[in-house]
Amino acid sequence: MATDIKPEEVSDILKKQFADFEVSSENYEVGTVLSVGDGVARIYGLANVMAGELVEFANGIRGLALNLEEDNVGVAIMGEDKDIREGDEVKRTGTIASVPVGDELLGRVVDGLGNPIDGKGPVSGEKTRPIEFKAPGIMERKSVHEPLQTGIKVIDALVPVGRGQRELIIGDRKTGKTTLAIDTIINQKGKDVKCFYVAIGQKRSTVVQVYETLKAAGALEYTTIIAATASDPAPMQYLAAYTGTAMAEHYCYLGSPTFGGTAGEKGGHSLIIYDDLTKQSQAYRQLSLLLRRPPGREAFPGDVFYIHSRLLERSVKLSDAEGAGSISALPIIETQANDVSAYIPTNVISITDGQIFLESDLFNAGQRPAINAGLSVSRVGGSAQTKAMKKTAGTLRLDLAQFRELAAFSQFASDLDPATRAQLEKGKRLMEVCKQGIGQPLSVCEQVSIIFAGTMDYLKEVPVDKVVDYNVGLIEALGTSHKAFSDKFAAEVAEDKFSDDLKKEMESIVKAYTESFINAL
Amino acid sequence: MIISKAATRYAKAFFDIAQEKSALKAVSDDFEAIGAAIEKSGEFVSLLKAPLISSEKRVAALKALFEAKADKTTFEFLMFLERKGRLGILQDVIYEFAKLNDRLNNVERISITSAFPMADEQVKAISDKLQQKLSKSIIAEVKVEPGLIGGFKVKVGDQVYDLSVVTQLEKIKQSVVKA
Repeated sequence: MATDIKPEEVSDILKKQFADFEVSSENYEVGTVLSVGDGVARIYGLANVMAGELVEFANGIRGLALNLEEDNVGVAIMGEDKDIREGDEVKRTGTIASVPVGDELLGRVVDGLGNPIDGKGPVSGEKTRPIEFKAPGIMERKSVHEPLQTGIKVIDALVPVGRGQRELIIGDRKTGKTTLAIDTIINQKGKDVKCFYVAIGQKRSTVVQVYETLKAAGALEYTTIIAATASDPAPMQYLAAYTGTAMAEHYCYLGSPTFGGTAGEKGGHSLIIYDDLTKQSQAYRQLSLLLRRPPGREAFPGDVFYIHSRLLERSVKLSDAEGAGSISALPIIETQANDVSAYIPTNVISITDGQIFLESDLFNAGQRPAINAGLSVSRVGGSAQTKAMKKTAGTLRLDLAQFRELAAFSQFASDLDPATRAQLEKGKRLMEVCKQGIGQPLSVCEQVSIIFAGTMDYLKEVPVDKVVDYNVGLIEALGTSHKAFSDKFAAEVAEDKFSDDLKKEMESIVKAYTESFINAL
Repeated sequence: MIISKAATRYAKAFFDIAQEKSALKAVSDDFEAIGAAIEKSGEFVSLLKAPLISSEKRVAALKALFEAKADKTTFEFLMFLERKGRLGILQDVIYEFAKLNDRLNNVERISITSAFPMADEQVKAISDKLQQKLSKSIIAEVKVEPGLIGGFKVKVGDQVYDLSVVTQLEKIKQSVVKA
């Protein structure tokens, strides 16, 4: 053993600590449990308790004071309620729930209250933030302008996401929503974006999978997983989203004098993924019904819109005076049978700055990621797109839209004129271009080159089923024989330029590669 | 405990009437005695609450119990509650009545819990100190709870002043764990 522990030293240290210890009275306020059940307790007393305050039951289990009524307080219990009895004492803690934040949380898995659950020892909790925090006002903000590269070419080309944007990922079960989010986290490597993955109401096995994926990709060192799994009590599932946001805010507000940061310092960038908000609203519905709040549509309480709007409004791009930090959010919503007009999906669609719509039909047809290019939009990301991508992918959306229309139409027509047939052929190849494997995020250079080849019709001679091989080969060539070009490209992207020289060089590389690829067929 | 709203209102009405009739002292003493009886005697509680006992029988029983002993006003209150079919909330009414009476007399009821039975002087010392602090007269209820190991806890309303050895030990533990 490297460290040499001397017993006398230990006792010295302990002695010193005891010498410093002063006997003082411990003052606190208490109430009495009137009734308990279904994860909710009613407390008599606690006259001065604040709404949202944490209270502590006799056996150390904590609760969240949610309902303050005339003669009792409704408390959501964050733990097993079977050990709590009528008549038990309940203590106020005097603090609104707050969670540890900071660098020591990176690479960790924590529960809905920020307590580590990965067995890697305690988190010191030196720095904390309240889990509920008011979103910044209008003057502290700036419109979204820098890109948040997801590394997925369809998204970066068609529905670009900017730093500070909220882009909803919506789709049925098993359409690749989580995969999309995880790939985005993996692509943030080396881009100085801290990532927070909030797993709400998921299976523990899924969370382990995510953990292993991120670890294998080396993405864990800048990521925190906040897990309130299906077996955790409803209040934890409800709170986890706010907990994750508080952790993300720590970085965002580092340079913001208005919100407790240091003026002159640069604010950090965070990315937070809520997987998923459907489960969170269900947990909140459970809580609300048990607290006897009146139910509304689909039995959700009246403030179910507000729980999501105030959560997502905390994602922000701060102005330069406030350090220019950002929190980007990728909330996930699971739909039932592609029904985006259900209550919670419409709510969240209206709150976010656009949505990425995943379809099971596309997924099953082998089009992965299964993004529906027609229904997916980004309301603010356009101004955050890199110049290179904007110039190259400009016609992609239109081409795909025309292809979809023609494809539906051409099913009935046997004889097509050459122009239509050409359009269809191009469309088929573009659909192939949009395909991308799991865990293979692409750089801007690779994305632009591939899309360039597709939209500029270089793929005309390439058979449809070879397009994927073509892409793989092109990416490989860009990483090896054309490394100098890739570096130059990256440098220009960093300055948000796209010079004509670069474009010409790209053209010649793509052309040469296409020729050699066709010859090799 | 959940105090029914009716109890608060009956208590307030009785309190006002007792004050008007200047029978406050007598009524509150009676209520205290009845309250103690309720706590001790399960039979008395069933007499008050059981729906199967007919009104006449209950009235007869109450007459036999209280007509001679209790103040006239108190007895009228009991009869009134009986007529309204509200004898079931008598305990709550008494509790609320005592609260109103305490407020009028500027009295604060506290509870002192200690590990060992306390001497009267000790209780008095604590009460005196609180009396100064709150400028209210103090009525102390003393409890013994060996689980505290040593020291004592004072509860005033919802506020607890905890000087028990158990809590101090827990604090030492926390300071060592966190250091």
